[in-house]
Amino acid sequence: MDNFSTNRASFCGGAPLATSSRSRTAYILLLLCVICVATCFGSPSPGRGVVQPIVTANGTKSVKHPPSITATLERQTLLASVTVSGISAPQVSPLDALWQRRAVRWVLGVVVVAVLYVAIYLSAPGAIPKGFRAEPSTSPRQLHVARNLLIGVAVFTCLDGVIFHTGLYASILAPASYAGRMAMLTRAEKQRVSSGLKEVLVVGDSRIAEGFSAAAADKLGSEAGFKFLSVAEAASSIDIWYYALREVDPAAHRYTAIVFPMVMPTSKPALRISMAAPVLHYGDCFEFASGFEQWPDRFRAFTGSILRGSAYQADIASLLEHPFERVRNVRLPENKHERAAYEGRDDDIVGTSYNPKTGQVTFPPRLTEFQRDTIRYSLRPPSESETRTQHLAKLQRHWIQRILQRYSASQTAIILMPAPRGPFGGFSKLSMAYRTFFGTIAMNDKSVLMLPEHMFDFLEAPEYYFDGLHLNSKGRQKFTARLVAELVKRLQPIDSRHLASDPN
Amino acid sequence: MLFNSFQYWIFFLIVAVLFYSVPFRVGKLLLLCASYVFYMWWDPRFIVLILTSTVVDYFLGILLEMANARRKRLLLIVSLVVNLGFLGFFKYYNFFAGSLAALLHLPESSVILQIILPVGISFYTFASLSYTIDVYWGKMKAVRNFIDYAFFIAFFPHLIAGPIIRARQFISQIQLWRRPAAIVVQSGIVLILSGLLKKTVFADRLAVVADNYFNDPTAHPGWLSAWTGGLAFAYQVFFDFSGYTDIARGCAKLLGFEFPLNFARPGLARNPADFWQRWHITLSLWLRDYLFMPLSRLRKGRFTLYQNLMVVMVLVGLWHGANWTFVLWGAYQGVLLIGYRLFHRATTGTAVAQVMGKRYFVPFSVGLMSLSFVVSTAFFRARTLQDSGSILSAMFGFQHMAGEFLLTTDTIALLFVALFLAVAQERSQFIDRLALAPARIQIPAYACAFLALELFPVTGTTPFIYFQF
Repeated sequence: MDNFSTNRASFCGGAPLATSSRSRTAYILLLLCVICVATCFGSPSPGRGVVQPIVTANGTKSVKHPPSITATLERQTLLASVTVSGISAPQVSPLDALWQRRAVRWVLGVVVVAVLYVAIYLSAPGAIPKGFRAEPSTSPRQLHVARNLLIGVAVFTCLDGVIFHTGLYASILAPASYAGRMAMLTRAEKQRVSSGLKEVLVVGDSRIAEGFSAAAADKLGSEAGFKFLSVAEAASSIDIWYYALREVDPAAHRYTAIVFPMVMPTSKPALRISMAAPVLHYGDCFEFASGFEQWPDRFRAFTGSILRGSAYQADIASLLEHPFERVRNVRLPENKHERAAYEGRDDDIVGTSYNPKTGQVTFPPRLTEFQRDTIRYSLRPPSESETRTQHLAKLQRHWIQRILQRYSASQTAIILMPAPRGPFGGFSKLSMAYRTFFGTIAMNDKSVLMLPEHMFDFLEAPEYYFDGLHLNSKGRQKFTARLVAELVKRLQPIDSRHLASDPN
Repeated sequence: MLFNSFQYWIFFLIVAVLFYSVPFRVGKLLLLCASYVFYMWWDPRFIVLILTSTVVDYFLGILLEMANARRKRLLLIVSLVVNLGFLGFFKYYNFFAGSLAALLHLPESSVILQIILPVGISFYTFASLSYTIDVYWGKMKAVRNFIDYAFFIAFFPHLIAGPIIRARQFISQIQLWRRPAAIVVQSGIVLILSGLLKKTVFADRLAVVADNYFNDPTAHPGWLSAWTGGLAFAYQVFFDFSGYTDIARGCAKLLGFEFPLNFARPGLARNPADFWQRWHITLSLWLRDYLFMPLSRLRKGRFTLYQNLMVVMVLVGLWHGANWTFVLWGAYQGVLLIGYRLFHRATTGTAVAQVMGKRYFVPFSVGLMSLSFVVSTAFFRARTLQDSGSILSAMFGFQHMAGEFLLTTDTIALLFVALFLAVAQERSQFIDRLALAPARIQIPAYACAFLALELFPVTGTTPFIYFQF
């Protein structure tokens, strides 16, 4: 091993800062090649062999997406197993088609080798260096360390604000992602022109998104003068509903009623942060962050509220991975109409039996592993620790109060409804204390209506579910019909008062 | 408390503010306490080891200075036994006992102990040893101030994963400490940002590809999978470790201390000797000064030189981890170094040497060296010798299939960006000079660095690879 030393003393008289113009051109060429080569060579993450869900198909049923499953992996699994009649359209991008040509691959290979050769050639102007200089230790002029750093931070914050707080980036979020769907939903609802009817907004998580059809509800309720709308989205939690409501109803008087399910929010912190990002403001940083149990999550939520880009890391990675595909997907007209056209899943879990005494579940062979898992999950007693349950209850209590506070001076009625529990009743993940809490709210606040806890018990049968938690198309129809009937019945008297004072 | 975690930066901020708000004498004590808190954050029990090693070597240093030649040797042996004894027991006991049990066909459970490897033990043991050996050789005077010595051993930026600092470089910095100049602070900030980018953007993203391959190499057969997986790991380990070193050096600079350079663009090395002058420089220098040179002084001769080289490199391998894969990795590096020396000797003065010295040939040398480093990942990253064998057979086409191209678009882009930056740094110290750049360059550079740190890290805080060594 040869002698080796750092030579700090000689730093200031070292290599000149400016490089030759020939080198600069080579650097620019090198960068251009990087972009070209990276785009053409990269394999789709996480590997080429991954089964991608077919999201569009030709045929009678057109586009068919289940809009709400509890996690990305689960969603992908389900999307991958959707059976659509007709012939699937081959989705080969021009770049992929180009890549499949052998000659192109060879040319790119040669380009890569050439780029590497030029780069390394440029790096080696002479003999092997015998020592390496450390960082500079003296400066010929006065430095403004703190000033430059602070301005750098300010520029960065402004850049983040321009890109991520103005809705610029939210408009190109992956339409199939939770954050993308949330952004799209709230944007569409915000831009929607008032129908002139009595508008009822339903919010909720995947169980409501799968179970409630705004289109079907409209047909059923239009005679009574009601228009039903939904911003229910999978994996969303009550804090996100609050922010979404603030986004779509800034003056807090747009709706006759807002319907909430009585559920425990259980989505993962990272998902919650990215989903809330499109509807957060700078001022939400403390309140939103305080809703998380662990300090690292609170910190992430805090930074996600201020530096919004950090909440979109996964989306940005996916955008850089497939930029052209993203642009194509964002422009798809189906995105806007997908939810209205969605009629629910046709599958059911008929044949599944559950013995509450022994806890034994028997599945018919046709059920997928995912369906079995969700059924088992729905039958499992709540496993959250006492602290966690308390935290969730506290969170729910806080946000319910915030929503009530927001609508306290408004004519909008707040309606709490039970969520569909599962094919065998199962556990609603709602502790007794929690139920008592909802009851207290309804008793104390006369503008809050609480729908009967057992009004959807008739749906607790395998024929109405496509997995352990979510209603299928048949269940969706029944649920929607029952809910609309109940709401129309209860809202008629309230609404006459509301309309008398509200010009809309 | 990882350097890439939120807790560390809160800790660092508090420590730095307190350090600068009190006189240095108190500040030094405060930094020492903070270093012990930092170390105990991993496991409070580890503090016993580091304190024992510190106390023993502190007194041995003083005794060494006063002792006669015969007693000096005895005291040095005591220091070696204590330090290497701790290292050997905690890091290598299970490895050697397990290997011996396998050799004697004994059940492994009868000899294996439940030992937790104390983090950073390899690093602070080497730092501590360098002190007693230097005092023994008379290269430095024994440190009389215990706080100074304890601070040298435990100073938190280098404690867990280096760089390996020497007492004779560092003690004088403690004694002559002055508030860092603006340029030093600026360099520190640039180093920290560059280290965080290396770790969170480059290393963690390449780790996705490398883990995908190395966690189950049999799931990805074929030469293309092996080479792309190996390439991803080779650069992951570089960015990971050099990112850590940059952050450590940057933090030290902000507190007014200098750590030596540890990495100098090893991807641009032209031969194995050049590579070891660029990769983990403080370790290779330590081994050169405290192992290779003393061994070379004992016996002369070309064969002895090669033999010593091999011994040193096998020990380098073993230093990295208690596993036969690391031993083979070290041996492989030894073979490369010896092979290069033999080749160099055979071709000196010939036309071959002339061609190899030309600038146009450099990319071929660099390419060959890079490929040989990628091959070494088959030993370094594989969990077992069987895995190493399987990866090597895949790399050299014995599986008779191409397999998958594992690199993703973003990892390819990152590798090219890294190449571009390495070339710019090699030619003109492009990154280091950012500290001297005018505001019109520095401010956008800061903004871009923050934006990259915000947008491109892989979600979650992942530990540094060299923590396990």
